[in-house]
Order: sequence, then structure tokens, then C-alpha cells
Amino acid sequence: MKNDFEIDHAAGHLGDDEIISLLHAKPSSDAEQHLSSCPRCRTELDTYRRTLEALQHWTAPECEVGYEARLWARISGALPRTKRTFWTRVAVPAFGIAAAVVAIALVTLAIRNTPSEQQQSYDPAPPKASDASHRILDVAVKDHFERTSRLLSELEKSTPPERAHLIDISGEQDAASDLLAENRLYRQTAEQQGDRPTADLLENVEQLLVELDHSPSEMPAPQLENLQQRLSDTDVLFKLKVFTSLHPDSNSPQSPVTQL
Amino acid sequence: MDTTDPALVARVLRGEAEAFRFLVERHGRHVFQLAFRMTGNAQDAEDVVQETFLRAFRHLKRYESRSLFSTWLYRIAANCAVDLMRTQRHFTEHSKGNPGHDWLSEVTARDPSADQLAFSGQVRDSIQCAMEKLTPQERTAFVLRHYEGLTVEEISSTLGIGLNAAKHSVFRAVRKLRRALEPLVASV
Repeated sequence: MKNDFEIDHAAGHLGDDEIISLLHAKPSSDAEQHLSSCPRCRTELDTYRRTLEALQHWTAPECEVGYEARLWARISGALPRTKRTFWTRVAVPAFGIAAAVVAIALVTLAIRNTPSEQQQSYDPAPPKASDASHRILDVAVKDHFERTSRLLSELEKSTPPERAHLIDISGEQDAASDLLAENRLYRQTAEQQGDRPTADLLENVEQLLVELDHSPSEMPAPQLENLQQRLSDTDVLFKLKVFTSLHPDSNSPQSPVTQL
Repeated sequence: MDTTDPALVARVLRGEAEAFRFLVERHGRHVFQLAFRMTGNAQDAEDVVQETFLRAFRHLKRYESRSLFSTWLYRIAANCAVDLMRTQRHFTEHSKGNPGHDWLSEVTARDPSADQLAFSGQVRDSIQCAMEKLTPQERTAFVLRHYEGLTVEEISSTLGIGLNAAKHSVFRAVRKLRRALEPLVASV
């Protein structure tokens, strides 16, 4: 194997890798001797050093006062519950309530703005409130998909501890249970609005969430691997990412999912 | 009350989720600095910080107190940052169909003598631009080596890659940065 400080005799100079190695290590006597007699290699080493010095000036912005408290506020809201109590089981989670409100509002808007046959013949323009309800659904679904993506990504990357036959997925299961209730509402609303691609994606997600919700809190390793394999095969995570990434820039009335 | 990292971890594992708050407040700022250097912008850094602590909480049982909690946390942050950058890159390439972007010519084509920019702004801009074009692994390896002072062995373990891969990621990053920043460094 080539030594880090070996001089490239064919070229008569130190190679790039040799010079980079010298940035953090004391040169060998061979390298030192070469550097003392080779202006080109000295210049090269100096340029690398100055590059790293310039990079030292690249600092992250200072966090504002109260950063830690705000960070905790964001994180604490997203932490999975460690244990499910009777009350947490029966209480509808906050996101579920929000989802229900959004869904009811959307359905109401959709029903109110569904023109009669007579109206349709006089007013060919699409109803504005329907567009609004579509946008509300997109925003709500986007948020839902972001949280679902985080959960499924966690699951996809879970690796069982060595020799463990059962993996504790109770945290993920709690999150899946919450997401499932929302997912059903959004899917029904998307179907109601005739947004087939979004409804289909929600249905794919729902199958995974149902499976997760119904699994034992300690999942056998092969079952987890099977679930991970399906996650990977179905590209659900990628579709969710595309949906959430496309959404802010998409001005098209067509659902982002249709672009997949 | 014992508020060392291992003691706080033990309290969280006993079901006292509020103890996690001390860990977040103690390490949040540094994780943000690390995430910013890896991702290059505050919004992505915020996402990485949040995701890092959420993952840490979920997998706290896997933390072994023989290593520093901060090291374990930075390892999670590095991997979150790599995931985020890869996802963004993947999406950008798929949606824009621009996989063969010539980043180096773009960097070097920037006029280093542009008078409109203050020098410090120009330095920041050029570095930002050069860093953005490293691959996620190169960028993360470089940040861990040069800003966090990790050894190649530690980078290898953090990113779950071989020693040679870690070493060459750092080398490639340094080479690319040197070439991209040459006009800037020469003008100093």
C-alpha cells in the first residue's frame, strides 16, 4: 500500500493526497526534505492551508436568544408518547381533531358548491370555493405526509439490536395509530373531491399504517424486515417526498401525485 | 439532582420525558451549528436538528453510556443531514433532469473581483457555493473532520462507511474545495 507521504517520483512532486495528508500530520523526513527543496510542492501545500483557513471563516449564524426554548417547544410536540394510558387511548389526538375539522369543512364546502345540473349549464367556470377546498386539502395532506414520512423513514432504517428477535416498535405504533385516524379522513375527503391520485397515495399509506397499528408492540425481526422490504419496493416514501416537495411550487390545478 | 447526560438519559428511559428537555437545551445549539455547516442553510439545519432529537428520543435505548451522548447525537445529526441532502439531490435531479450539472465551472466562473460584493460576503458566498456542490458524504465527512475534529476512524464509524471511503471522502472534498476556492484564495 502506498504510504501517505511517499513522493511520486514519476512526477517528481508530492501528489494531492500526500499534500492533503500533511495538513493534519507532521511530515515524514522524506516529505520534509522534499518540501524544503521543491517550491512547487511548498506552494501547493500553502494553497491547501490557505483554503482551509478561508473555510474556518465560514460560520453558522448565531442562534437567537431563546432558541433552546423554541426548539424544545417544537420537539416536545412531536415526541412519541412513551406509554399509552387509558386516557391517551380514548382521547382523540390533537392532530386527529384538526384533521376532522378540516375534513368536515372540506366536505361541507364541496357539498355547498356542487352545482345542480341547471346551474352547471349556466356557469361553466369551476366554483372558486371548490378550488379553495382543494388547496386546504393539499396543505393538510402535505403536513400529514411529512409526519408520515418521518415515521416510515424511521421504520425503514430501524436495525434490530444484535441477536434481538423482537423489536420494540411501541413508539412507532403510537404515532401510526394517530396518523391512521387522520389518514382515513383525508382519503375520504380526497375521494369526495374526486382527487383520485391523492386518494390512491393515501390508501397506500393507510395499508402500511393499519399493519403497523395492528402489529404486536414487539415485532419479530423477520416481520420488520418484511415491512421494510415492502416500504422499499412500493416507493411510498419517495412518493410522499415528491408530493411534499412539489406542493409549494405547484400552481397546477392537477394533483402533484399525477406527475409521478 | 444528577443532570449529567447519562443520568438524564436514564430518567427519560424510565418514562420521564421532560428530562429530555435538558438534553435538547444543552446540545441543541451545537447540533444546529453542525447541521448548518452540513446543509448550508438555516431552514434545512432546523429540520435536521428537529429530526435528530426525534430520532435520538425514539432510539434512546440504543445509546450506550460508555460513549459520550454528544458524540452519539452528532452521529445521528450527520446521518440526518446526509439523508436530507440525498433526498433533496435525488428530487432535484429527478424533477429538473439536471444530473450532470457542471458545478466547478459555475463556481470558478463567478467573478471574484465583483465590486458589488463586500469581501466577507464574497468569501461566504463562494464557500457556500463550493460546499453545496460536494456530495452529501464528502460534505459531511469534511465537516466532521475539519470543523468537529473527528479522526478518519471516527468519521468511518459515524457514517457507517469503510476507513478508506471516509479518508477519500475527506480528500476529495478538500481537493474540490481547493480548486473551487482557488481564485478566492489567490486574491487574498
